[in-house]
Amino acid sequence: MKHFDETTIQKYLDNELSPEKRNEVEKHLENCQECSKQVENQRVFAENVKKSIETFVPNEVEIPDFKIAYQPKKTRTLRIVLISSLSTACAILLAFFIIKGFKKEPENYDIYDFITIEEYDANKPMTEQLFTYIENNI
Amino acid sequence: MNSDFEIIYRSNYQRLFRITAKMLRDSDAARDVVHDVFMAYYFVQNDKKVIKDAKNWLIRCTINKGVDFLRKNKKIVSDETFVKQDNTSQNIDNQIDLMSLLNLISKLDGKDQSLVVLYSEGYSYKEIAEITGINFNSVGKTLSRILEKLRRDYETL
Repeated sequence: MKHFDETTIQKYLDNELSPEKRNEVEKHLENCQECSKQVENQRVFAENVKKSIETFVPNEVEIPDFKIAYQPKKTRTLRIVLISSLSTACAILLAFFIIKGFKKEPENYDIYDFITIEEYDANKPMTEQLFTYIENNI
Repeated sequence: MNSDFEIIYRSNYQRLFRITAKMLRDSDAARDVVHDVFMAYYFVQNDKKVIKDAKNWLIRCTINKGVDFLRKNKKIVSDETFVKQDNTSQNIDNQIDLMSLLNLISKLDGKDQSLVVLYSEGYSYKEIAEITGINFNSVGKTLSRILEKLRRDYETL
């Protein structure tokens, strides 16, 4: 004989089973002591849960008049608008300059920008110096 | 204030109050939460949004707000209230200690608690399914599992 699980018994206690299933359970309960015990246990426990959960509920509940509580409107004040817009402008400018890297083309070129020290030979006249372009110096 | 709202307010207040009081175990906090719920309902109604089933909407809203409240005030609510009444309840009822059972229920997850509360209010499985959005077929299983877990915890106390 197959015993019923807790879910079925719970449904049986709450009258949620279909009529056929209910008949089946009732027939089974007549013969099976184990299941009857389980049903009784679950019934008592469910009642106790209901009783215990009731403890903090007052018996009589007065219905107070409904009053609409004051709800402050969520409008942005002028100061917040000013601060936020200014800060965004600053952030955009900062990002722009960081990306550009504050690069500036030097206006007056120095002779040392174009030659390395190894190539510079002080004994030769300036016109015979080997000029090389050093990218990194600019 | 329009009369429709007044009617809904009068007819639902006690029901919602009982549910919240059971969830929060504190009638003052329950009043606040229920008022919040009706405020929400009032503003939704004023926005001309259509609510199909006012009763279920209100209960759902109550449960959500109750769960939120529990989450926020977890540390404050639970401990003290139980310690005070623990001794007295043992003397009166020696068959089953209701307070420790309630303590166990309060340790449940917010959603499980709301399910137990709805069950104790005598709602059918179909109504519970409509309110909480759980599948109708799994209400019985979920509920019996919660109760079974409570029972096992209680026996091991």
